[in-house]
Amino acid sequence: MVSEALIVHEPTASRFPVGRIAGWLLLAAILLAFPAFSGAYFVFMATLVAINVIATIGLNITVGYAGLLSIGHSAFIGVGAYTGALMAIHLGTPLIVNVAGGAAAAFLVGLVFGAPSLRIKGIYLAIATLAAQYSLSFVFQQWTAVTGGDRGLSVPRVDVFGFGETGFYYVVVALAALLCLAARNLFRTRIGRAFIALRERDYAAQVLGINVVRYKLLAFALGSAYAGAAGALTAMFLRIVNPDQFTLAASVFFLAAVVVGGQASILGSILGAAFMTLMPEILRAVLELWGPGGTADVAGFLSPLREFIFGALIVGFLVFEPRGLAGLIQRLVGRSNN
Amino acid sequence: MPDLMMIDRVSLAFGGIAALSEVSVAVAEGRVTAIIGPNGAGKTSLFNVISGFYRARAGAVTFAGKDILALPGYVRSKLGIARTFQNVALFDGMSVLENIKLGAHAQLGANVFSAGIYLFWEQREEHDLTRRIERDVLAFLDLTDVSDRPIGGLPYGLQKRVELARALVMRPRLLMLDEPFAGMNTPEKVRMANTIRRCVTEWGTTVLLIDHDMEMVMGLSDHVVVLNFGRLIAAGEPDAVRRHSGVIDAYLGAA
Repeated sequence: MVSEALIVHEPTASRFPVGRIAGWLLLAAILLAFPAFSGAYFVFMATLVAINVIATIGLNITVGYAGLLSIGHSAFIGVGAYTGALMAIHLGTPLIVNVAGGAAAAFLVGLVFGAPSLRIKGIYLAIATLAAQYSLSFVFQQWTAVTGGDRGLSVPRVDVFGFGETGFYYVVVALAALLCLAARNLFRTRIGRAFIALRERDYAAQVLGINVVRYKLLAFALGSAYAGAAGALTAMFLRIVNPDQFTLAASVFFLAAVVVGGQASILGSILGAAFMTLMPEILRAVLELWGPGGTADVAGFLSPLREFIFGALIVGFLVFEPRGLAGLIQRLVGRSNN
Repeated sequence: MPDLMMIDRVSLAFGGIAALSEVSVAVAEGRVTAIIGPNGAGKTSLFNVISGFYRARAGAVTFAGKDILALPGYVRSKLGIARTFQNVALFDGMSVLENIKLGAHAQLGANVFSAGIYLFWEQREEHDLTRRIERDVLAFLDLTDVSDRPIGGLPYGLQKRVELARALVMRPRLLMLDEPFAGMNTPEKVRMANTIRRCVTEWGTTVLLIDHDMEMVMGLSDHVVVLNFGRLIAAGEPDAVRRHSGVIDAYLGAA
């Protein structure tokens, strides 16, 4: 497990942190202006990254902070996606209500599937979370009257403030920022400390007055709620929900995002989600640019090559920086400070 | 002094093997009670029954008039029972201060929503807790200089003090110490003994401790209980226990 200090420390100095505030304002300005100087494709990708950031933070709360290994995360994203889509279709509720509904539904389902974590941990728990993955996938596929079966659901178009895709981008980015902040705040209080205590020694946690049962379920359900919010956003964004989106491979995708980004790190969740979402696209662009042009043979060769490089990059991170991209950044910042 | 905790004929078995057989101990309020005995005598098992890790096969433990064996472990800690562990159970991923803050978990009120928003009330709560720890606990245990350091890499004696600080932050009525002197050199032991004494005299804490260091235990304790093979073989004031023939055979004589 990660052994560095994982909690954000409030600087005790009372002076106004001018540099930090300027940095945040600059970041906000860049995110705000981004759609103005980039094309529809980039806005699309940025929205996807922001949605995946939300889901990755959720998994990082469960796996990275609380130490409950889950490989069923995409099933909870699915619960949020179907809930959000059904609300949009049948109730016609606004986007933000659908997202809250998706999160709430995933929270409740997470409570149920989090129950095995009370008795088992590590790889055993991971296998138990497969139950969530498969049983929920089964529901998505077979409950045709509600979920539309394999064909899935198509979701009505959401037009935020009449800005279309750009408006959606703003909503998702703002929501991702808020949820990042909420997660960070959580780890400044007793709730976050209790999660970390569970991960490291749950017997000692009990002696400190931490209700281990409640906090394990909470860590699991909270991670699911983030997944549910991301799921509802995905549904409203792609305007289609079907069982193929919520497979084991998708769960592994988010687990990789947590590990590549850095376990028990909010910054790591952001970087990991961005890496996993964008790297295949970047590799595609690079290979098309540099690769020999055109014939079908070459194209047939490039696609597996892309997957191979992607895989090699992930392995590289595991070997050379076990603390992930967040650890890499910390090291670079630390070096420049010295 | 009235008894703060009564351990009444507690028995514990693992499979067919008896770990504790009808052990009774009265823990007097505002005193230091020590449990001694050779390895495997059942000392830590008794602690674990009190903390709720093991379920006693028979017997009762009454704390401040309440039967606690029926309560979940975390509730027992809320009644005012704190403990430390034989092999220090701190959280490596956190700083000294964060570790100590965990000891106050049950006294804080943050829930998921208020914690996520972290304005006004929660900020105040964390701030007040930090101040309280700095004022009462860090200074008392001489940990002020290391409060921001991560636990990993701190010397063992220091980690023992941090664990004691974490137990003290909740201002427990009963402080259970599992081998507080283990792995310490003599100056560290003397310092730890003084700290424990001050908890009793200044804060009125009741202490129940386990240790192997006879000199320390005899010097510090008001009451000594001797276990051997899960049975209580002697109890009384340190001097009386020291002269007890069964104890000399079972334990002291072997040394």
